[in-house]
Amino acid sequence: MAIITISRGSLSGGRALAECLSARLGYPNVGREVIQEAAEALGASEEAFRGKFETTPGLWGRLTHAREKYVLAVQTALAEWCTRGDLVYHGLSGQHLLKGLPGIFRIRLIAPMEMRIRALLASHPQMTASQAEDFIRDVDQDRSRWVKVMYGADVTDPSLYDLTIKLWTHTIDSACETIATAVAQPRFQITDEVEAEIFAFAAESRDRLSRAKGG
Amino acid sequence: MCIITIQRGTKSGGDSLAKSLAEHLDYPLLGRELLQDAAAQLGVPWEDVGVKMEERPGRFGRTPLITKLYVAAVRAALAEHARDGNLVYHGLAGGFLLRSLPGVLRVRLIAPVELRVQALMESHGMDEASAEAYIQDVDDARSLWVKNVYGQDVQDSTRYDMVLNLGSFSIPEACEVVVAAASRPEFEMTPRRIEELEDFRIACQVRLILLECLGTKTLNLDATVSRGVAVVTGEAPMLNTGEVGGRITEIVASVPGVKEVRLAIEWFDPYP
Repeated sequence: MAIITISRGSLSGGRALAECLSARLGYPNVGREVIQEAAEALGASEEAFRGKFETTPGLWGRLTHAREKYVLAVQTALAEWCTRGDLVYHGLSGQHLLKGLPGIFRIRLIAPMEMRIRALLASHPQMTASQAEDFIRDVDQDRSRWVKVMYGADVTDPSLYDLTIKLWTHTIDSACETIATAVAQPRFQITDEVEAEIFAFAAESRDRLSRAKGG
Repeated sequence: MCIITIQRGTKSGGDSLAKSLAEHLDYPLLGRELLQDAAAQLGVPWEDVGVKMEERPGRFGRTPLITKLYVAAVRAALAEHARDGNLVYHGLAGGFLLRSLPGVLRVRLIAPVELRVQALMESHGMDEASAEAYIQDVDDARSLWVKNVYGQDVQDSTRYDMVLNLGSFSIPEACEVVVAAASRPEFEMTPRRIEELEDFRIACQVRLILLECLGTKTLNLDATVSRGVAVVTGEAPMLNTGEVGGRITEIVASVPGVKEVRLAIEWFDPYP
């Protein structure tokens, strides 16, 4: 019984790993659904929502009320999922959205650029390898700046995670098995105390969102 | 069976994890004592090798010849220990010395600085400020060294197969996680990989002898070995047609295990 968050660059195998873990451990697997639910809660389109959540805010952007509301809505939707128990979350910023909660197993997944380019070219055969690389670097840079501006952190910093794992020598199956071993350690189990903290965190997120919506 | 390398900052728990892994897997354990093997091969005091392996690079970031020689000797000594395909190595430069080999599980350990400072205060009776400064200094020196010798950032997670945060795992827990990774088929030591280890071992000896011999040590040469065939690359001056090439071939052919020598050297005119 645990809550797993997976942080990764685009096209790094995050979704495949999440699916593998979900099948291996029997946990629900969510990513995009959290954004959809948050968008619904605010009556916004998913597209507008993703824009706020994925593009880099300007100099004063992190202070805007709208952006804060969007982040709170995602945090609340994710916290609701956590109150239901076991979870594999492979959406954005899990390690930050659930910061401070005990029992969360935070993974950073990395994949070599050539592997990511190959994945993009498989789904977009009209692209050249150099266009694919530029695209991946742009997305990485945008996400990295977003995390820097919003949380003052470097998304690649391994100290933000319990385990960083590289796909290359590791296959998805092997990464999945290794993570399953790691997450079985007692400190990542959802005990009664951890469950109480998750419920308190979810209630607080709901309250803050409600205040932000009213404001 | 596999080779595990552990890279870590000073006082990050690397020694304990390595010991635990070696006991659990029944693999040989190798750390700083590797320097003694390297020093014995070169006939120099082992402390000298240790100093050269850790000292900060010179002002212009160039690696002196003596450092290259010592690094080559350490790498050759490590390749000897790795030839059977099962080893836990937690000494200097961790995975960087074996970076080109398949089937090696490269682990980096990180630990919150508070834990590391505490460990140093307990083991050396230091005060907190001195312990923190010492850790920063050693980390910086090692980081610079790897940057200088291998052109890589020691803290870059993409250089490792996994990075374990010891703020989140106890040593027995971390050991269990690494064992789970090491037992996956990707890290299994197959007969082909054992052959590659043997080629690597011979290549390390070739690089070492090229740095030791008077006629070749100042040349910028490198070598690879595949099934006993050594290919020497790099740059060398064209002198007295064939003389340098003949000497290189002779030196490389003297390394036990080399069956054939091929030169893929770019020759340049030293007096254009």
